[in-house]
Amino acid sequence: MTINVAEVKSAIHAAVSEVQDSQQAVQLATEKLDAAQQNLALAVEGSGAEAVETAQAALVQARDDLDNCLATTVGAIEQAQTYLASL
Amino acid sequence: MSEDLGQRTVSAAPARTTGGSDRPSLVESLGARLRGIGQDLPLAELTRAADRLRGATAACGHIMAESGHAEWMGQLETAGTHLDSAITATLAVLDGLDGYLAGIGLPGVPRDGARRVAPAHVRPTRAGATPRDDAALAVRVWWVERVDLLTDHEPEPERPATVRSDGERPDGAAPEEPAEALRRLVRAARGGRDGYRAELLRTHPASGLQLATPGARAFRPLAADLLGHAPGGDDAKALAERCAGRVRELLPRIPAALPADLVGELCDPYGGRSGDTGEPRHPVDAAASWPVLVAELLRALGRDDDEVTRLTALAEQRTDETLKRDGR
Repeated sequence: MTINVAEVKSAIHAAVSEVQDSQQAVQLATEKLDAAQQNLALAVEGSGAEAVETAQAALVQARDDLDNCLATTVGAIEQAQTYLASL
Repeated sequence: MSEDLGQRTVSAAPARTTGGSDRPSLVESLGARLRGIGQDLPLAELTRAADRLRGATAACGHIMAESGHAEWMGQLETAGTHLDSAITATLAVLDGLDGYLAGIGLPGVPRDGARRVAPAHVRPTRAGATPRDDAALAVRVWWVERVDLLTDHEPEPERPATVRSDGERPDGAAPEEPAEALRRLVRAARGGRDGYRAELLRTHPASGLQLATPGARAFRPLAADLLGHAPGGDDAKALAERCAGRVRELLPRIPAALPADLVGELCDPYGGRSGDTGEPRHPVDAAASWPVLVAELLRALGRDDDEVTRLTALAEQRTDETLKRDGR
C-alpha cells in the first residue's frame, strides 16, 4: 500500500485534533476536581475521619495526575506539529 | 472501549426527617452534599479524554513510529498512564466518600453499576511493536516519596514493579485488591525495614490508600483474642504500647502519636485520637502502619500470616457473624 504526503498530513492532523479534544476534557476534569476539593473541604471541615482524608488525598493525586497528563500532551502536540511543518 | 462513567442513576436519599418536620436533619443534609460531590466528579470527562488519546494513537501511531518519531507514541503512552492514574484516584475518592457515608449510617454515592476503571493506557498499533513497561510510571511519586521519608531511605532512580491484579481492566493492570495488599504487607512487616519498604513501594497507591479497612478488620479480632474480650477504650494504651515500637522500627519517621491514634480510634471510635495536634494526617502514614500493627498482633499471638487471609475473608463473606464475634 502506498501512502502520499497528503494522507500522512491528514492522519497527523486527525491525531492532533484527538489529542486537543483530550486536553479539553482533561481541563474540564481539572476544573471539576478543583470544585470537588473546595466543596469537600467545606463539607467535612473538622472531621478528621480516615475515609475523608483518603478522599481528599485521592483528589490531590488525581489533580496532580491530570497536570502531568496535560503537560505530556502539550509536548506530543508540539512534536507532531514540528513534523507536520517539515513535510 | 471505555464506558460512559458519567451517566449515573440518581437515587433520592431516605426521606428521614427530624422531629416530624419536613426538613432533613443536619446529618442527612451533609450526606446529600457529599453524594452531590461524588456525582459531580469528572468521570465522564476523564473517560472522554482517554477515548481521544486512544483515537490519536489509532490515527497515526504507526506513521509517527515509522517516520523516526517513535518517542511520540511514548509521550501518548505516558499521558495515558497519567490519565489512568487520575481515573483510579477519582474512583478512590468515591470509595472514600462511600466509606464516610456508611460510617455515619447514610447511603453512598448513587451508582449505576458502571463504576469501572476505563483503560486510558494507549498501546502501539504498529505490527510487532512491544508495549512499553509502564511500571516505573505507574508508581506514584507522591506515594513513593512518602514511603522513602517514613522509612528514612534515600530516593532511588529505579523502583520495583507495582503489584497489580487481573481486576476488571482488559489489560489486566488493575490495582491490587486491598485485602491482598494487606496480606502481602503483613508478611513483609514480619521481616526487616528494607524488605518492608520494598513491598510498600510495590503497592499501588489506590490499593494502599484502602488498607485501613482490611487492616482494622484484621486487627480488631486479633486484639480481642489477645485481650480475651472486645477491645475498648481502656485497652488502647496497652495495645498501642505493644505495637508502637515495631511501627517505629520499620517506619522510623512515622509521626510519634500515629500508632497510638490508630489503635485508639479502633478501640474507641468516639474519642480515641489521643495525640491530636491539629495537623492533618498524611494518608500514606496510616496505610503504611496498619500492616505493621496487624503483624505485631500476629507475632504476639504466635500465629502465621494465613490468619490474615482467614480474617479478611471472614469479614467479607460473613459480616454479621464477624461483627457478633468482635462484640460490635
